[in-house]
Amino acid sequence: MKRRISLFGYSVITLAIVFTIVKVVIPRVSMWITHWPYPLVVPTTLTVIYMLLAMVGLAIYISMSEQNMEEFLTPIRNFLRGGQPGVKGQARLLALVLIPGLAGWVAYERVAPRIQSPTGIRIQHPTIPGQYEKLINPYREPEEGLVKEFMQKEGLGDIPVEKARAMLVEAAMAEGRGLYQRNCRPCHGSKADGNGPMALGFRLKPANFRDPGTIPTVVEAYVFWRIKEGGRGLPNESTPWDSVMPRWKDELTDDQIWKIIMAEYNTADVEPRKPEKLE
Amino acid sequence: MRHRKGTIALLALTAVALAFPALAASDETYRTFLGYDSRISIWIIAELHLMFGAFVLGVPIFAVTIEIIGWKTKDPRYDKLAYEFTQLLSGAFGFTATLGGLLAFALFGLYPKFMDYLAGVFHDVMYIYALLFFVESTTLYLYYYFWHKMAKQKGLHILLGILLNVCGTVIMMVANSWASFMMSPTGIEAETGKFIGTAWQAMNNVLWHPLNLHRLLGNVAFGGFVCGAYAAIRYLGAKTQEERAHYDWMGYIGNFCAVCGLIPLPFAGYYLGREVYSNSAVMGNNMMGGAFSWTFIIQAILIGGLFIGSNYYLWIGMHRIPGSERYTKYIKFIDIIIILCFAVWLTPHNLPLSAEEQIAVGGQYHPTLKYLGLMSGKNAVVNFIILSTFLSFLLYRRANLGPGIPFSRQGGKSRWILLGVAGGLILIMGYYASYLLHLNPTELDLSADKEKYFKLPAILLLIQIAAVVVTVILTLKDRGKIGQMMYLGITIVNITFVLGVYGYIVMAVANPFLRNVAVTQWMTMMSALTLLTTLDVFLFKGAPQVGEMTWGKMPGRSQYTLIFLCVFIVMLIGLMGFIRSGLRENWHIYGVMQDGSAGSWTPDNALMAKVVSACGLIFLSAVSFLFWLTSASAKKDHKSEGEPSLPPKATHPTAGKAARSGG
Repeated sequence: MKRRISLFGYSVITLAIVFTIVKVVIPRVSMWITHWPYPLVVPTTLTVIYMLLAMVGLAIYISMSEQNMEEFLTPIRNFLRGGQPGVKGQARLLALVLIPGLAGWVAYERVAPRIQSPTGIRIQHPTIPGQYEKLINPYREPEEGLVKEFMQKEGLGDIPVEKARAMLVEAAMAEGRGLYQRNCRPCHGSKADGNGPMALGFRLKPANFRDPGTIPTVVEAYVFWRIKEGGRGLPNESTPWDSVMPRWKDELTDDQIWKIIMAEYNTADVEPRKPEKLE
Repeated sequence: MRHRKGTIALLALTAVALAFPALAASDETYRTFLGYDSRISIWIIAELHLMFGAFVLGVPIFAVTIEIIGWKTKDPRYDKLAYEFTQLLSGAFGFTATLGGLLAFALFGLYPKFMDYLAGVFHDVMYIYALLFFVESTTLYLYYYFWHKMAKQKGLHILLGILLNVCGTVIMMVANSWASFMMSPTGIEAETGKFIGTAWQAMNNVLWHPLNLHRLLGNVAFGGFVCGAYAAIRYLGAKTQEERAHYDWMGYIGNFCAVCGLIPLPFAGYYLGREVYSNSAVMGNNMMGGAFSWTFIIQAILIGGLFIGSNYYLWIGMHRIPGSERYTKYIKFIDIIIILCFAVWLTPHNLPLSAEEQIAVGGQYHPTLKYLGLMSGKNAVVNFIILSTFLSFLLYRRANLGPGIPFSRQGGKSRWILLGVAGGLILIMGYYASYLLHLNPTELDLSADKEKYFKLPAILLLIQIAAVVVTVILTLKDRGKIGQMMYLGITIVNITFVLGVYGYIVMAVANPFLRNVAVTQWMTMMSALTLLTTLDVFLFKGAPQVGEMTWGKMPGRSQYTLIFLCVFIVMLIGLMGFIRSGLRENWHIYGVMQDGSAGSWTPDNALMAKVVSACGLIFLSAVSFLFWLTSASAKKDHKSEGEPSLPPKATHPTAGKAARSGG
């Protein structure tokens, strides 16, 4: 049965639909989901990937059988051979002028110098320096020495160590919450969702710790290093690295940083990545 | 000639093995390779050695399997195919050994201190390695040169082939233990860094078996794709229809074997990746989120190419099967699903953005599309891709078959087999569901309130068990096809749409349990592959063929696809080799012995792409040379025998038992 629209026509329509989905539907649906005030564009790199995949899918379908190939190529051959009467012939001539012109325009757009920032590949989790790798949060499961020091400091007398340990964890968490709200909230937000009052002032928004791709995917030692050394302490291979994270080692003690980390995970309602047991 | 080359290489390798300690006893820590960077030199030599290693391990697995099929089906053409590949092997073995010798020389020459340490740990094993090499080479030459002489003792000859494979696998495992020890050393005294364990402890390090499994499956896929490329080249150059038919069939068999290795490979990769993470969370972070994260995007493209290419080849092939028009209408839907899955598979969490785009999306992550970039999303779609590929195979298999004998009339044996398979699946899934329901959160370092997250995967496994029971009942009532589709549907929903989404929740609040979610997905998917394949065999038992299969009627693009698949897997092997070794960064032995040489930096993606491409090009050129040698030899054989090489008599790729059972 002959189709009313040729396979070539279907292919053009399919690409147009995919392009519309990428350029219009996804941005608008994203706006609706996130309650942002404007549509969230799909970045150029992803647009290219999605369009290329659509073309691969089509190419596979078309070249799967000789019949499909023939059906797809026939209108192209007819167009190139010419001989169409009247308006169709004029449309052909117009297309023969427009298509190379369009190709030239696209090429010009790609290579013409302009004031535009380059597209950068960013490393999400740069390599942690060796001296930080094995660190563990002393307040997550405090050792007995630390607990006894706490008991002495707080004058807790002869209460069981386990009870004192729980009290120490709670005290560290409480102090961490206060430190977090004072130092981190302006950017990372009171709910640790990256929406602090100063967040909109940055081009690269502060990390949303509630996102499962951020702090839940790293161990606490990693967060400790990022807080302590900030954006300036990142290794060379991370450049270009956009981070205005302050270097907190000048302002906070290691103990305070560990307590903030506990509070940060707790506020974001996520768990730190744990070194897993080997099988 | 080839025999002599192999022997020389062996002697060289043995000499190197025995001279290890003497070579390593030097005061110098590092040297250069003829003035070039020693690390890049080692990288290239090791990569080429590994590629040939994969070849000489993958191809015999393939050759012996084909030989066994030929023996069982009594079809001499399978035997001929297996012999043709063993001819390739003989030449490749010499290349591998020569490169192995060069690698050993280079390592001991360029890194004497490090190799002194490594030889101190593994020297006993190194002698065993050399001995195994002798046994393997002897077996190979016996296997190859006695092929025709032992035609009447086929069982014994196959035993030789199996011994050859066992030797090859053990050699690979021994070498793997050295590589994995460098990533996850054991038996080390923490304060001094001195090795105080035994050689066995060092071998049996935590990454050893994950690496063994990953490489073994990778080699099977590799062997199949190389076979496919060989067949494609011969097909394109074929002069007669008989030749075309033979190499068309050979290409199909190669692709089939490759996909059999490819399907479980993502899980083996996941297992290896998880264990890398378990061994060092920082190494794991560098791998998936750090300096190596973009190499995984390249890896995703290559794997995507392999799956898409394999499916495409099958879909083109369906047009040479009479009766396939009943199923070709479904292919466009599989095509759409696979492309959509790859759209998710290729979406990075962390996007390449310009400053303007960062402002437009409010940061480095797209607020909605970022979720597609996380592990959970990737796990969900890779399962869907595998199930879609499996569906392609099912459609291909039944393309020219009519209705089979109703199951109720197939007798007790069929019933017992079906019940046995179903029972086994119920037992395995039931055991794991029970394990999850009784899992103590503290075992995963999780607090007690996280126990609630263990229930859903267990419930889904119980649903799968119920689905197995329903499918078996439907089959017993001669409604097996409905049962098949129902089980496939439930599996897709459970592992892609339910566990795929659930993985995001687990990632955020009970991360260590994500491993168990992945195991549940894997187990569910394997249950579908096992049950549906078993059912398919029975559903089409004794099925009449709709028409005659027409081998040798494939368009050229299908053959270029086979060549493209071979190129892709070679590049993939090169890339994964770089990632695995590069993860150690500036450590010879991770956390124990630092690499203080000038070249101890981690190469960027541009350099990586150049070196891996160069290795791929050299390897493919050498393999092309081997193909040429073999085809020249085959021509000579054909002339002397005076007979054309026809495909098996089976008119359908799956009509012969061999192809049905995985050949």
